[in-house]
Amino acid sequence: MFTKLANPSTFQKISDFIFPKCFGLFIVFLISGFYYVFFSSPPDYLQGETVRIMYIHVPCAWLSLGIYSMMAGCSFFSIVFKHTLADIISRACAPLGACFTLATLITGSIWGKPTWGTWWVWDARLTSELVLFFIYIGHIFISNAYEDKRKGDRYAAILTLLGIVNLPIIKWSVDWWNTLHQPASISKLSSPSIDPSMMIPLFLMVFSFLFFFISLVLLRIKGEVISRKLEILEQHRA
Amino acid sequence: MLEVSSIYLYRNRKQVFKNFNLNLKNSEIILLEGENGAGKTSLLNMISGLINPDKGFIKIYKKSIVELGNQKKKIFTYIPDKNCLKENLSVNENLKSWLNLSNLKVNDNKYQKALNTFSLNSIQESLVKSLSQGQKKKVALTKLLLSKSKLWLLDEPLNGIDTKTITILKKIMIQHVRKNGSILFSSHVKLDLKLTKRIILKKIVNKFNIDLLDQWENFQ
Amino acid sequence: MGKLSMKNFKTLLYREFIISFKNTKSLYSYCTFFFTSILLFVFATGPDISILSPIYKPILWMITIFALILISESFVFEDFFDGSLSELQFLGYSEEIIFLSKSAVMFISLIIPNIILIPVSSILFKVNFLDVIEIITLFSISLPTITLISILSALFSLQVKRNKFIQFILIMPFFIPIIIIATSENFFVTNLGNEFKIFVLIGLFLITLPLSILIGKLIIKELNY
Repeated sequence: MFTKLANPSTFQKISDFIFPKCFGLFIVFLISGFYYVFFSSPPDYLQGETVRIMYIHVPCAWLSLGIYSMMAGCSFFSIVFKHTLADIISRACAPLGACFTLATLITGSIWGKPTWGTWWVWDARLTSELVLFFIYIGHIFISNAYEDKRKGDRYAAILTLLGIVNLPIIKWSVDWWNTLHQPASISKLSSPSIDPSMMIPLFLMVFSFLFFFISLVLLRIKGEVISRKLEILEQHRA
Repeated sequence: MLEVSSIYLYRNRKQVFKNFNLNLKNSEIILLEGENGAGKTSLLNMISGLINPDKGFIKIYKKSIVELGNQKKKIFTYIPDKNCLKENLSVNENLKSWLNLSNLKVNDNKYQKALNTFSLNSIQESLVKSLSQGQKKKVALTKLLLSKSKLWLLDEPLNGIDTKTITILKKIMIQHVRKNGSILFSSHVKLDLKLTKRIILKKIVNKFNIDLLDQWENFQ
Repeated sequence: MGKLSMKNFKTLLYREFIISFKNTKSLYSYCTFFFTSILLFVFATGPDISILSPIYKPILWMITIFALILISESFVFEDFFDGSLSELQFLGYSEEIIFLSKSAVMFISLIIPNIILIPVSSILFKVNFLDVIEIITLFSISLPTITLISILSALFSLQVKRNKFIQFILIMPFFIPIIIIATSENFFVTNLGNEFKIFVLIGLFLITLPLSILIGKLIIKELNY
């Protein structure tokens, strides 16, 4: 597969082929998801209508962790095999990951106000999510801090490997410490502690966010590839 | 003793070496010439194992640089462009610390003689930060006299030193070659020395073609 | 091989000791920084000892971590700019040993002033003697970990020209677990026993050590390019 992606224009062709489909799927899932979220799914008997924030909060949270692990995989790939595509992907992912983390924090605190009575608590899961946000910020900073883009990529890859320690802490913080935040509802697919009427819209939203992310990443990768091509052209003209 | 074969190296999206070969035998001197950015320092850095070539291999005594590992300090002495001297230590302390790092034991007589060659005796107790640029270079070059290795790699050894010192350095180099040693050095200054070979490095200008945009390697 | 690298480690350690103890300026500036920052905290909160006494521990840790990040640069900066860092590499010293010896010397040159500074400053805050002993124990157990991390941050920022803040932004998240365990009485968990804290801190050190050696090696290699 990597030999097929071995040159930028083939990769470009593949991504141009995938992009419209991903974007279409995103729209389809979003519309159907919105229908379920606003009309079909019942309000929670404890939390009332505010439970609907969950359909944005949970996909964002999952993506914020997922993107980071994807970046960690990419940086491993870039350190071991020194493939530029890995660097480009993780450079494209970092701002999106930061946005999803920020969205998680904001929707979480909006949800927290009516249910817990406070915008923010210094609780294990919230704090570790905040730390994840700062790690993303650090990644963005360091990959742009050097005059040489390549250098920034290398250092950012190294930093990401260091930051991967945070992932298990976020994932299991709710189980390790007794916190305000509820434990994971969907830990086993066979017996989830969530009603199907809420699970269907949740998964629809998760897929729609996933496809949204994929199509955005493809766009960002395309931009990055084009900007690097321009740099090469510039260098050869000089 | 030194064998560099078919080296390829890319730095900052530019190809610096393309199928470069070099062979250095005992009692030979090779001068590297070339404009700035032609890759003189990169070549010396590659030989000393600081950076790795993208393709090709470098062997010293038929062993690759990675294999040598700990024995590197016995086999070659590299004087880089930077002086590698600690500003807060005196000349003596700097040289002693270097001897300690490279596992050498030199008796006092030889040590004083080495200092005397570049007339550093009077300043051996003064701190390096009080020395001039040329004096610092002389201190760095004194390491050559103290070392016992056969292969010398010198990066711009003639930068910033006066003509008197240049003649002394020339003498030292000739002596070293007579003792079956070999030298690889780079310089901008003309030096009338009997060279075995003069290698002129040139900047590689790859003609632009559209294929360049189609390889991930060029994106780095 | 093991014997040889031990010998290498000793030689390097000796060199680092000579360099860092010739340069006593950083030690003085560390002590001065420590007391001036304490002074600032006192001016900010007011002289009431009933307020000051309970926040002694957080103040101490804040100051230490900022000082560590600031001071760590001096251990690698000169070596990088006068070329000695690459000299060590082409003399055949492995990057792991270079990184380890630097952190070891930094640890020793920080633990000595702190063992004196902590009791002295605790008098100003009227802290219990038993508490001081607890603070010093936890401090000296967690100092190796934060030393490793701050040397890493210094290595990261060596080639950055634009701003110095990057060192803080990059590395602050990794100090959090250590601060939490070493200072807090009831953050997340109530009633952490002292033994538990010690075990967790040792565990964190054992996680950090191999990871930071690996990353230090990667950065030191990258610095040559």
